[in-house]
Amino acid sequence: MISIAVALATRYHLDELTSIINFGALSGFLLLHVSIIVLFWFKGRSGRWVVHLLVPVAGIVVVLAVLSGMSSLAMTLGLSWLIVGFVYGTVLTKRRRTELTI
Amino acid sequence: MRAGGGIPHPSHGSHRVQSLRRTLSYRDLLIYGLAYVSPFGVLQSLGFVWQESNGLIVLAYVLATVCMYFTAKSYALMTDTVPSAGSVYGFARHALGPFTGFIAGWMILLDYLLMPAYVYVFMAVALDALIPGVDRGIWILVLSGTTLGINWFGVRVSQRFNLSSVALQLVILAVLMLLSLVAIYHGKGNGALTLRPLYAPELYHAKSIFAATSLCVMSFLGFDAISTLSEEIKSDDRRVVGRAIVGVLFLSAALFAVLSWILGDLLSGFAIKDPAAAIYELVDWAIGPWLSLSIAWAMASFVGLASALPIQVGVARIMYAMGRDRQLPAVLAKIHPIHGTPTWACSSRP
Repeated sequence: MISIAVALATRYHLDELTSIINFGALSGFLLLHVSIIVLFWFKGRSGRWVVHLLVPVAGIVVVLAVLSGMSSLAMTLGLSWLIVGFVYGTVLTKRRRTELTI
Repeated sequence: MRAGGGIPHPSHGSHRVQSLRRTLSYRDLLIYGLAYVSPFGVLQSLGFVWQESNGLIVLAYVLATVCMYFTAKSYALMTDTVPSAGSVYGFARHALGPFTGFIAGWMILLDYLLMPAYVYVFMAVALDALIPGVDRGIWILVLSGTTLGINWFGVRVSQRFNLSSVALQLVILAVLMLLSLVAIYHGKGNGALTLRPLYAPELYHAKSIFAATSLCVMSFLGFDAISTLSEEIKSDDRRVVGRAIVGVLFLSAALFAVLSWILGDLLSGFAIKDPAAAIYELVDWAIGPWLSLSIAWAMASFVGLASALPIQVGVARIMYAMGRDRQLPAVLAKIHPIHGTPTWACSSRP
């Protein structure tokens, strides 16, 4: 249903739709790279700096560069989605905590 | 010396939920990835990339490949260590905690949920070129109805469908490249294969290459979806998934580079009316309506369906993983009943 509504709304704006999808994927990539640095470089104290530091950092730079070139509409919609996620995630965490204390 | 050496397979993390069935081989993963990336993808974005890049279309694709290489490498590393159907959701949850994990899952869901909309729109654009005069909105409704129907009745679509779709797309692309070359050497476009689509100082603007590269990145999206199948590989060697991710990236990069090189030399000097339909306009003019019609029919039928299926496989996996950790409402988790077999939209093969 969401797909159909979005498809209808963007039927003449394929490029904008592309950017919004990109935004979701790129932020996923960003967290992927951060995960690697945290997991291997910091927590794991790995010495393999090429795969565990250089590659993810390069990945982050690339992702930020691509994100910075995005249209403001895509950015706004992407960030709104992120904020909704934050709110929902916070509620989720809170609820879990109360469940645990009970 | 692996930091995550002792991590249990995530599917054993919860006793309430059965794990996914492990049936996939390296070849299946490659085909799944290629079907998701969709070799035709480059044709849809052709007009936009051409305009944004100022004609340096090959450069844009090469840069996008380099950009994506880092990400593919990171995916490979993570799938080796934390195989999770939730992909980035699982990785971030493991490395950064449940909240960040949730945010990661939430953000990739934006990608995966809108992807079908994108497929509908490009199929509608193709139909628009075939049967002009009908609003794209009507097409979208017809198409989404059709896909819904197919998914309802034909959920057990085999890996064979992916394979034949990829093969058919490659055949059409080969014909397209061959005939484009013939057209070029008959004086259309640049009149010969030149290096202009790769680099020409007067065309180069850092800003426009930036914009074009970010568009090209879109064509590659999908190789990452292979990671959602991490819990379903047959072999005990987890590195298979990582190898498939990098493999799909390189295969599609090679294809995109050659294709955009040829089409770039053909596009030179051609005036695009609607960038979304650039490929049809170009082929119509340079080769003949019969080929642009074939491409449009292919795009409107099996290409769209072929990419819609793996998208659902991916999104179902992420929702499965998030639902398993109770990170999504039970309603969403119920959409895909978690049986021993993979979820409803899955590529369960005969």
